[in-house]
Amino acid sequence: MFSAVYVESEVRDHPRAQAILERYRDLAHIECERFGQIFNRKAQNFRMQKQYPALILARKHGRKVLPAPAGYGFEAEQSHYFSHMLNCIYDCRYCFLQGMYRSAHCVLFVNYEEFAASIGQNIATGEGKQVFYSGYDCDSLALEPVSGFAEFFVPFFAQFPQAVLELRTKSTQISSLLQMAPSPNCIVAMSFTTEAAAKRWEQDVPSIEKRLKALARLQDAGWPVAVRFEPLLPDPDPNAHAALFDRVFSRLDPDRLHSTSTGLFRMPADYFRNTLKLYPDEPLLARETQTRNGVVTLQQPDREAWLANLETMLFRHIDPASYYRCAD
Amino acid sequence: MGSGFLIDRIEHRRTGECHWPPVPGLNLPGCGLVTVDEPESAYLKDAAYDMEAAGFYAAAAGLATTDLVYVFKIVSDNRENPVGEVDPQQVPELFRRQESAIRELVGHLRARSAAFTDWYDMPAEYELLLRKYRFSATRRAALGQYCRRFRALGRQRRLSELVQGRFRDAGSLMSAMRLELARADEPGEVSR
Ligand code: SF4
Repeated sequence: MFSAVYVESEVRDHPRAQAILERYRDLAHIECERFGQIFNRKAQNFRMQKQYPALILARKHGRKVLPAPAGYGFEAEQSHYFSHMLNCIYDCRYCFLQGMYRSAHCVLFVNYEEFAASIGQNIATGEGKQVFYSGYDCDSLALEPVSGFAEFFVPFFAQFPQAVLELRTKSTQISSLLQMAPSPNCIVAMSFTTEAAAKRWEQDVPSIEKRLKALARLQDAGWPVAVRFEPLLPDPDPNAHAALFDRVFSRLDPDRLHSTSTGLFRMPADYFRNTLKLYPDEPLLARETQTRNGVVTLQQPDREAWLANLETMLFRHIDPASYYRCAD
Repeated sequence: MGSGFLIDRIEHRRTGECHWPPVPGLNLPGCGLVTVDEPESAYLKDAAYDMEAAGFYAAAAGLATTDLVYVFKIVSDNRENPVGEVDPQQVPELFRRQESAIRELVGHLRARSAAFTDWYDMPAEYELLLRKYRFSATRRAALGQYCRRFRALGRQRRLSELVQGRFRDAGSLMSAMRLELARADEPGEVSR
């Protein structure tokens, strides 16, 4: 999976870093002062690096919990996100991370205890229901066997019933969750696109079937699960979304779902420009786009009608009260 | 002596500057390297020593993506065989011993560099159009994007037809291209 492990001198002796270095003992371990020396260098090619990504073990300095971007996630008095990881081991062509970072290496911040302290502070000083998203700059569970992220943070959040943790994922790495008692304030949200879109634009991502199986297992075990139909991409087959919805809701109990959401393909304009530079040969990105308020979406003349139609199809399966549409 | 290493970290001893050449996942032994200004005799660090890599890497990284700049070090001296005793006659033999590793590395670099060209080269139509019409710098950049989009969308034939066509000037050509690109949204079957 990784070609090498870079490690900041500062965390070299951290027990979490030590365990990971031991796990990857056959790879080169390369020391650096700060992860940015490798991650933020100029003249890197993300696309090329995706073919041999490295893992970078680092310590997160500065602010660890940030306000969630507008339009991200479900309604709450306060929404935050925190990133124990930057980048993802999967390779989705529509992912904004490829336009945001110069490097395709995965950075794992091992100082979970410091993240936990910041989160605890936010909870203590915040009011009302607070949601914490962990899958904004990465996939929450894809590296779980290595990172032990959920293993650490789910029990941590269990102490704060007034807070909610969303694990956003396309991964089937659910063993650590299945070994714990289900936590009512930890939501596992799985993303899906149509079968054709998944095959074409989601490289290295587990198949829809495997993801559904994992999510159904979690639901059966009592975990709150959620479904994210994001990004919604026009499909040459007009029945593709209906087929996807039928498939998903025949495997999950819609009445026990935490929430279902949809969101269009959208990307901040500068990230889109960077992504387009990396993949000038990618049909998805070569399509007509429109930019509004600095955000790029695919141009679709009948977009509203199309979305409304998809929502009508969705509401045959789910209660509209448990649904939200992400703003573009 | 004679061992070959793919360098994964270069430290310039005098300036303290560091570089991290890529680790491409080939099965070649790797290690760090210290670039020194004077021939090394102490070899204190668990690293290779040389007098060029830091300068070479910094210069090469300014010319190409850093993901295509590798440093391969063949050890010619160490504590037991000091640099003053290196026999220049032996150097070709040192290279010969690393021939297969060098070939593997060069093959890998060639493949990467071919992929790079394949991803980023401009469709031939771009040059043809540049010769046919006069473009401002901004329009020239937009033309490049349009040509690539035609190709990505599998509409290369249509692009060729536009090259054959007669337009009043660059502006009207580009309007036609824009209209064409906006026309059908569905990506074609073939992207190249
Ligand atoms: S799984 Fe999510 S984070 Fe990972 S590449 Fe795909 S869209 Fe990006």
